[in-house]
Amino acid sequence: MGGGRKPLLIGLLLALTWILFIGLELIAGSDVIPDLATALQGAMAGLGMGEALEGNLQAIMELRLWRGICAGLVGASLALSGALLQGLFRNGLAEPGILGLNAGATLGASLAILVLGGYGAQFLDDPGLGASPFLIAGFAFVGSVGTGVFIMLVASFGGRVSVPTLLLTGIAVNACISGLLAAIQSAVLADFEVQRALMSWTWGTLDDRGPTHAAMVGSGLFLSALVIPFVAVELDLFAAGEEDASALGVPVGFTKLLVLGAAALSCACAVAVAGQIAFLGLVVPHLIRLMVGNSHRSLLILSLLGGAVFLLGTDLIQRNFFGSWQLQPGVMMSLIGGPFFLYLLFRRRRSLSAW
Amino acid sequence: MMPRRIMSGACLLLLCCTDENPDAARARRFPPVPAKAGFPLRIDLPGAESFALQQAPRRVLIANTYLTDVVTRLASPERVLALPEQALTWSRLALVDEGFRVKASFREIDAEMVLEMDPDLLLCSDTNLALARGRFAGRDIPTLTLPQPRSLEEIRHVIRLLARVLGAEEAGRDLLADFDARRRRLQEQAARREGLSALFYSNLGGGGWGTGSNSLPDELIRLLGMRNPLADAGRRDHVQLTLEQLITYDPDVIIVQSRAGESEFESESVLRREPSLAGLKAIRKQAIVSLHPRLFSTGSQEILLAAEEIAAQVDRILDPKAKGR
Amino acid sequence: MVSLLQARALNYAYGGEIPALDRMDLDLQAGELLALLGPNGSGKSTMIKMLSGLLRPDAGEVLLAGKDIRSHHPRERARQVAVVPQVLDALPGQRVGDFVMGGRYAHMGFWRSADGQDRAAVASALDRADVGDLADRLLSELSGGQRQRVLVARAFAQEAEILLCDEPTASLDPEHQLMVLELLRAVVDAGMGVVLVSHDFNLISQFSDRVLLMDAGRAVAQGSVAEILRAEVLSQVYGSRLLFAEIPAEGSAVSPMVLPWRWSK
Repeated sequence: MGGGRKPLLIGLLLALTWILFIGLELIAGSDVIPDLATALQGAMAGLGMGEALEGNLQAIMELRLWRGICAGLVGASLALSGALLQGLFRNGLAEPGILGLNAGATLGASLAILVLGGYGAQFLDDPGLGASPFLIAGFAFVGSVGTGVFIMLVASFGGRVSVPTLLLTGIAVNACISGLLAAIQSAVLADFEVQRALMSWTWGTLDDRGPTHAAMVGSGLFLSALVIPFVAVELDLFAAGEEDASALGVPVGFTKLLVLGAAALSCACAVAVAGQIAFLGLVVPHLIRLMVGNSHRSLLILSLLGGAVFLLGTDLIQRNFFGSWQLQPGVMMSLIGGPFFLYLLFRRRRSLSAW
Repeated sequence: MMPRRIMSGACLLLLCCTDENPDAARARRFPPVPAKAGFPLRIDLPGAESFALQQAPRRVLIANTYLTDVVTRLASPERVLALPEQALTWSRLALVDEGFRVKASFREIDAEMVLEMDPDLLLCSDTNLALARGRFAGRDIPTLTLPQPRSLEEIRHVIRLLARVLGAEEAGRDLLADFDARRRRLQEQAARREGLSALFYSNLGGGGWGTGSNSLPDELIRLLGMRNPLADAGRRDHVQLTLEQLITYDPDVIIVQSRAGESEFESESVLRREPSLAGLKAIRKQAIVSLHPRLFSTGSQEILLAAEEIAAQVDRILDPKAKGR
Repeated sequence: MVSLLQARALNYAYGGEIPALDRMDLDLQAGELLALLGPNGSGKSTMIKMLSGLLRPDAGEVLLAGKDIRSHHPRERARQVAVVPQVLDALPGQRVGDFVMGGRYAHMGFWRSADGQDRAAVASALDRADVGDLADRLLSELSGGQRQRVLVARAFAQEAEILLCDEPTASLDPEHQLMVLELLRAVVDAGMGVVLVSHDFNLISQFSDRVLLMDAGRAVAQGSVAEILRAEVLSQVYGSRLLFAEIPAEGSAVSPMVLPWRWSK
């Protein structure tokens, strides 16, 4: 279904751009700008191949390498998650946020920061945990998946997830979590250090990422991408309604579960690693749909690739042009994505009113 | 790289335009100190308002932690109606036990509570907008709104101003003399740290923060004779600081907050365990200075406690012979 | 005769409260076109959903190949039962050819890719439903009648033995109404079983083997066209505003004709 040369070409182009952008990440930084050969040597050494660079340059190259790798994987995960959910809900306005995944991750991360900040650390007396990049990411992941599962359980009846109930439950749970977050923030208002740590999480960040982060978001993306062959055609058939899909032989309940599970997993891992990055899951599938149409086999795969390129590109722009302004990717994405999405809505008002 | 240069040029231009000299900044942010001591006292506040006291206030309500630091040095406990609960753990009351008897404390304060306590002087910071205008249901309560100081000179200004307002000239003179003497002592020893670079760093695992110019921590670093590479790079106030930038600046000394006894987790453990930082000078030489956040979260004269502590730790770390001193 | 699909004493109420089916029985034979007839709200569409396994009855069972239809895997079920829905919930932004390929879903393998056999089945189904020339058009560009024929084509592509059609001729012009019914007749004569929901007495009269008359979720009467399309039977359900006539058919047989008629007062 769908198919043709065009999606293949676009896919190839996106994959190459992905690799190219990771290369550019190596030589795009705040102050140290090495030549490409040095940068590549540092990157290879960072992956355990070849000789390391002199002094601190090696450490800087490795940080940039992992930043690039994480940026790509996070973008890919968020866009795939968005594309899956838009297909499932048959609504181009769906995005991972409605499953409460972002809010849940933020709640988890905030609790971890509180623990790190000395609030209630007594019950976690393994000092090794404190330095582990997994503590905040792990808490965020648990918060994200926990919230997603909770929302899905509330929204399902007799083993089937009801989409309208899911959306409403999502709104309610998101509101509750916002309240909790506000309560946490006001409780530590006096503690400047903890307050700042909470803030920087909500802006989303690709700074200071390492191999552990890459492994986390990478495995989430890998597992989620595995379902693509088993839900792509099914999502195409969902387009005419669940009942129609069921009549054609689609195991509707199972497919929904796969799609929701994959969307939740990839988004949760991405948010756990990079904090809140809004709009990407919404905008990228839209762009891809404009290029290749509605066939989910192309749409899902190209969204994955496109998300990687999009976030890497945004990050490159930020690091090259706005480095001194410290615009975090979550902020950048909202600043670019918001107006862009408004533009899309404005241009397509007539066709959108059919929804 | 051309656009980048243009961009940084534009930023620099912007910074130059917004930069005013310290005296002008202080005049804009703080009410002036009245020329002569005694009562009745009158201060013209910015915005054509004025502040007047007929006699020395005896029922002072403090709504801010750093102001607690100053007032508890100038006024006797019976003149202080109430102060914020935070001040019990975050002001000098928690650091030095002088038997200052706190009459009452509150978690949060609003206009209703102010009216109920009926103070004859309300001191608050500019973050408490609900109180800052000093109008309470038609009743005017003499209110002084003082922002958080950003320099040692601004701290001196606050001390002089409050001494006059509280009618505590002598205590004010003593406090100023003490403050200046401690500051001079630190300055005199500054030469031995010449050429060292130091920066304040905070990271609870969710992203790093540092402090650039135009801030008290930056002034402390310079007071101790060291450089702040973040300020040298043209960065102002509290800014986010990535590991990559930290490695690029590679300071001799990293100053972190530590909550020893309260938590196992802190910026220092992030610094020590992050593999990419292993090559930093400060890590290799174990030149990490850790301070309780209480020490430098204040904007009062007590900030010198932090400076003294930093000086002592830096000297001990970098010059083992100095141990005996 | 081989029984393809059986419904036994089906009870169903929407949301557990609004009764839709009341002890409904149905038996579809191979090589039979069974018409479901009844006024609006009599439970015909609910019956189609039951027979295709989309709804679970509150009581009773639907047997496909001797097994409860809901115990079949959806793909296995869809290889045996195809549905021509009355309308779609939403219109997919797809081309006709791709949409009809959806009918092949139940036949596709592990990787869900279409092979030559699938493409041949789609091409043949498109031709039989007379929409071969529309294959590259978007569904949204089609007229209502064209869309209805595309739905029929998709059901043909499914190559099931049982076809459940919910008013497949409702928005077709007379020529295409006959064409679709002739197609259904042809597949029935080739051994398939078709359940046809329709309000069109006269198409039913001409094409169906058996008629099941429903009212308020119950089977009111069941029998041959001649037995059901009579004033005594239909008036129980439709009242008296109907005109009955007889049209000569092949040989000595006659076909009943029924028209809604506004008798002058």
